Amino acid sequence: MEGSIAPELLSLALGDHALLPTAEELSDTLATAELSLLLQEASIPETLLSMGWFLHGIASSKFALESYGIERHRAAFRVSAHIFDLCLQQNDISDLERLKFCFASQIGYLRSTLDPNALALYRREFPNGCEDYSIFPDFQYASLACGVSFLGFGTGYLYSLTDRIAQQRESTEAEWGVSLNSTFYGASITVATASRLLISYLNYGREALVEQAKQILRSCLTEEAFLEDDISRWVAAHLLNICDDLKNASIWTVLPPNVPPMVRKAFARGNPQILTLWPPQINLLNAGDEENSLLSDAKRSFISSPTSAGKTLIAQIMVATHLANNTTSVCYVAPTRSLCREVHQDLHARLRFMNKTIVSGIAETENLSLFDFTLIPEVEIMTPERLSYLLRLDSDAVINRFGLFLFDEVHMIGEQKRGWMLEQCLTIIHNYTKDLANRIVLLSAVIGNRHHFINWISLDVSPITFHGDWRGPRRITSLWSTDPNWNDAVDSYNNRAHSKKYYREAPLYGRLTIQTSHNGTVKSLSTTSEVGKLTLRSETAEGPFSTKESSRSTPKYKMLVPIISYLGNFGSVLIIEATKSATMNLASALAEQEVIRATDSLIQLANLIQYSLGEDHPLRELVQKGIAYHHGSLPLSVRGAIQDAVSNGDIKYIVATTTLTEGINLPVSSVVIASQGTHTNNGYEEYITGSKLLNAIGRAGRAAKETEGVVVLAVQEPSEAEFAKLKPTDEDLHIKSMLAYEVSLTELVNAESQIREREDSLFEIETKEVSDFLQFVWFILSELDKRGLPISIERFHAIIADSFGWVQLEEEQKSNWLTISEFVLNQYLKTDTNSRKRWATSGTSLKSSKVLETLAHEFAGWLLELETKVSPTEVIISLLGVDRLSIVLELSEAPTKTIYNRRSGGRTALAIPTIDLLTDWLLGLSFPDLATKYFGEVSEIAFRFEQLGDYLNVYFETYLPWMTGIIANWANDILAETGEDIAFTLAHLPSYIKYGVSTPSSLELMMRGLQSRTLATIISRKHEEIDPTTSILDWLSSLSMSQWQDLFQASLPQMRDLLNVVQSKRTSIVGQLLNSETIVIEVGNVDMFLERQIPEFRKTPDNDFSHIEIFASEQLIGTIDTYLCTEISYLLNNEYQMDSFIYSENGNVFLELKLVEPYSAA
Amino acid sequence: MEHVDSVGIIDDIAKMLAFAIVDFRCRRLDPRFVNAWKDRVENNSALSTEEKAVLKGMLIPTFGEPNEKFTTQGKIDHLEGFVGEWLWYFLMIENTILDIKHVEVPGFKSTDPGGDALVIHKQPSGDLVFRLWEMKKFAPNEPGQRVSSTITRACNQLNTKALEYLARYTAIGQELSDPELESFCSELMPNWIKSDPAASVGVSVATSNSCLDINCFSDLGDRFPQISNGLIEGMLTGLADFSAFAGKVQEFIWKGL
Repeated sequence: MEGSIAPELLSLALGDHALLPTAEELSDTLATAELSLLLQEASIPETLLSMGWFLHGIASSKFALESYGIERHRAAFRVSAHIFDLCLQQNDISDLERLKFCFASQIGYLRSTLDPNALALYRREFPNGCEDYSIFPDFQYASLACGVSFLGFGTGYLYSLTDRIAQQRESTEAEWGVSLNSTFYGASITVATASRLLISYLNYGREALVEQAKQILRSCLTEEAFLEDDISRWVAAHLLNICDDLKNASIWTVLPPNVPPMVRKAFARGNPQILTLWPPQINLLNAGDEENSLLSDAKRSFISSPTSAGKTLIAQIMVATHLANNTTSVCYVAPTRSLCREVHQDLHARLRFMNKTIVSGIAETENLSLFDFTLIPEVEIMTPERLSYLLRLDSDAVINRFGLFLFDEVHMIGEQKRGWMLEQCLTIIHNYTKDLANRIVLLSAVIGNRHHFINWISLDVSPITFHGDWRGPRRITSLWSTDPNWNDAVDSYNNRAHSKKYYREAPLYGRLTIQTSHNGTVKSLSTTSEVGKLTLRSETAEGPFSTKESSRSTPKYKMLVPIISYLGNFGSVLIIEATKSATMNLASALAEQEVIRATDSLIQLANLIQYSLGEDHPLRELVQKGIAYHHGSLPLSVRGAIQDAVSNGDIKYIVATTTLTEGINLPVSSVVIASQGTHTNNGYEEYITGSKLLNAIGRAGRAAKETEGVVVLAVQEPSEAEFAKLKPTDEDLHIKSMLAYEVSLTELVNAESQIREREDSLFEIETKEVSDFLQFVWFILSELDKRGLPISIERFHAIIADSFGWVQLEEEQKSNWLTISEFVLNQYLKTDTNSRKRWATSGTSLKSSKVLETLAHEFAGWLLELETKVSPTEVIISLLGVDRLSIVLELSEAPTKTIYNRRSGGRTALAIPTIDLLTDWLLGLSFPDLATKYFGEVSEIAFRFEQLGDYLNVYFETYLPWMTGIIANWANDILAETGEDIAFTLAHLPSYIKYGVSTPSSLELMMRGLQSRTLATIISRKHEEIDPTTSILDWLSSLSMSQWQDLFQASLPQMRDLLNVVQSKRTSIVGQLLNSETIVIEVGNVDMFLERQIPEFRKTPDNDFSHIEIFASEQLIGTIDTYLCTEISYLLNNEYQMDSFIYSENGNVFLELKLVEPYSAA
Repeated sequence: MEHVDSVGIIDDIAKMLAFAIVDFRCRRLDPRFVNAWKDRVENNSALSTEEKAVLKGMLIPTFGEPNEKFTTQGKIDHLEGFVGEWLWYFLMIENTILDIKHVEVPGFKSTDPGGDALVIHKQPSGDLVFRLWEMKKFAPNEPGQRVSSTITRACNQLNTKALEYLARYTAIGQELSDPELESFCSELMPNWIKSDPAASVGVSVATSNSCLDINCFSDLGDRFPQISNGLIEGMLTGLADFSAFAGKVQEFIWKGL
């Protein structure tokens, strides 16, 4: 049980006592208990519980740290926390035991550096807060509830509980005429008061509150009147001991002085709230010396840690701090669009309070500065492809615009297809900013060869580096296999079989094998009912039976259903399959077993899927049962909605390819690796290994939501080797530059001999690795050219020497790459000056650049003949018309995507009229309509949409925008060289194609984050019909949300999306409130004088999109504007303590909201 | 082993115990409340609204609303257990043989079974010793039940729960305004687990005279083999009919409300 309790830890915790069990005995008891809990046969032996109290006890005293040393102290707390955590999972414990175990476990986790588990326990045990305790007569329960909710950061519950206690105290003291602090009730009251002070400190950062709380807690332990209440005093003692730890971990203390208060508020009061940081985050922020702080002027940083270790938060803090202290923007590079979307959502939750704009998903070759609406984001989240385009377009602009570059999942640099793209970008930025203030941060999962990265980005000063294997939730790893029971086999004879007519069918039983951590002992459990059948064939009745009869044997994926369903009892389950079709099969098999009632959210999700993929798509049915599959061929909006539904807990089972685990951070309770590869023409190919496998299993156990995660690997036969797969070695996680691949070095030698024969043959080289390198050399030479610097191999060398590859190459290999660079130099100098600079910007091979330039010249000719202004759609269709599309599709960069009428067996390829499909795509034809019109011959609905999704993704969302952007830009250049300027006509062509819209207003909606292009098209048309002179966003803001529903027929998720889009241009009132503590909003008009009074807010109907009406003395006196509704709802619903007033001035009604820091209320 | 039989004395003791409990609970608020209660018991004096509110608030959680006799066995057990625990406490603090340095009183138990308490005293040698007490009442409602079964239960509970109790006292004992005691409390668990002479146990049972058994603690030492200092203590308190005694304490309490 990885991340669990190692024998060394147990041994350390227990010390040497004859009366105690040995570390081995305790480890074995723990393993048995965990296993029984996994089987829901929970019962914790008394001896284990006693050990829990013993270890908790020895670490409890304030002298313990000094007596036992930090390691033993932590070990004792960690083991005790683990034991109490297991105790909590028993079914029949009393409320008092639940509270006690939870509190003791939370204390243990917090004091042994597993902070997220303390939050997870509270959320798991008391998802809606504890009971509504009061001091009469539940004072001890109330104290424990204060303790667990404080340690679980249940701010809202704690405020309401302590409010109730304060009211009771006040009314009782008024009745009694004396203070309750002289009674046994006082202990509970002091715990409540101190908890409130402490949570208020964490929320608002007033340091004096901590000292006040400590004083109160100390008095709780010494006051004679409290002697009878040992439970409250126990809580008080632990809270007293943990005060300083929590203070030192709080966002107010950990962040260095250069982080402005607004940033701290954005985290402490944002959603989700970040009140304290986790131990590795604190270590990281303290890394480096004061002058070389991660958050101020450390020019290079490298952070490598496993999933769930809190890298994302560190990145958010860095971004927020940079924006607060600098005028430059932030460039956040993430490898996939899905991850870009996720990073965007997470950052938005923080930066909205700082009124900073974030954009993501901009077409790779889009030039934002050409937009006629204001969209100059402070943060742009982009793929390496877009960064590469921007650098090629104008590298100086990139360096000037972005002061901070964050590269997420930087281990992607070793990826065969796209790694070099990322490496080029990093090499250029690293080299160009050596003497500038720009900062580069590399974030990655665990990497085997970290030293290569550190060497790479070292400057005069070493980079700030951080590596750790810390994670909150522990992980239980296990293997799932099946065993036939031949004793119950049934024999039969099949006369129709050609050979091996004798059949033997045996029932199969599932086996779960868990390896304990301390000595590798394997514990196995088998199912009592069969999970499938295995049929073998033989030539004779006596055997041997050795040939598997697949048609009469249960497929492997179906036999996984019982274990997956079982894991579903503990929370969400992610199942990894190797292929898209396998994800669908397994999801369908699960759906046959699972009976989950469709909730409102699932029905909404099903509606969204129907909207996007049509009503016949199998996913629509599946999600209503809480089951989904997820792969790269589904539309991004559907994938996003599924991801959100998994995060919210609406979807319980998600069967996915590694697109999900590689792309985004979606933690779940359990991960099942159903298969690690697939059968190809070359036999079985296993590719979910090493970092891919690590990434997948890393999703098991959601930090701050769970204390443990379960990983199940489906295997033929459990073995030590299979367990070893789950723990990849450094060698497995070694990241290599493209320049150092074996194949690159071999191809380099071949290319060199080819070029030596004929130098200009370098334009014909198509080997990807070498061609990519030649293109990079060309680009660097053009950079020197543009700057008027000598174009020499020495200067190129100075830049390539800052690549990752250069750290890994032998001298001779470097020399070979430099030799071929010299050939490029020769050809560069021989090429026309305009062309050579132009080719450098394409990002394609030199050969393709040449072809594209010819197309650009042709297109420029067409443009010159234009007499009237034409629509973007017409420009695009013309650009790709006259065979230009077929030429573009023949370039070496072009994807090859064949569309088939069926998934397998006797299938035929279909001809797709790309130009027609593109036209309909641009005109906003819905996804289901496109599928019917162009892919109607594909009878299997899911396969039809899968292929359409792939087709659109590959051609319209990626390749054609890239090519169109190049041709349009170059045609523009060519015309500019002749004195013509048609930039407006050609602006944004890549974006129109990528988003599948055709008007500037629909494009603006998409650029601002609207997910549905069909909705954007509908809105744009209505806008054109009703009020074309007002800007699209102002027009939308002027409408009520019910008008949105009526006019656009938008679904609830779409409404939510639209609301975010409308808000994107506005100043956040939550941000204003946090900054200034008070805001005033105009909410209506009255023809009478309205005295300042407390208003009542009503929402009808009560959902996210209803209007908020404001009443004073039962009279409706105002409404809140559409664009403010979500923010006001957020304020009203999210534990903000506010005073609100309504009043009139000159006939206008104003709403005043005032933030109240509630620490004094108790 | 102590036993008291006479009806008059029993009443006096019940009254004294009721007074001690009221005094313990209310004196820190203001002695006038204790006096008012006493005055009402002895002279049937009227209580002010305030006095009535305070006394009820402090006593009803344990003794129930005046004149609403407990009818459920659970509540009766709770009352009898509570009376037994306080009997132990007041006998303990009157103990002049031990040099008691600190007493953790039986905790106010909402639902926990039985009661535990901790006494720290100084040996003539100057060494501190702690004794972890388990307290039970024995008031059989069926014939044939023997006090030894309650003692067995108390011992078992002490053996299984001792570490939880000690863990709690370790945390609580860190702020006793006496460095020697604070330091001693931090060692409660190790002392217990390594059979240190500083660790000891006690079992106290309050019962009726008729149930007294002079040999009931004879095998106490065998039940706690880890206790090495010979300081294991058993305390059996007999009070005529113990259930009736507990009821009398309750009545006295009510009388003053």
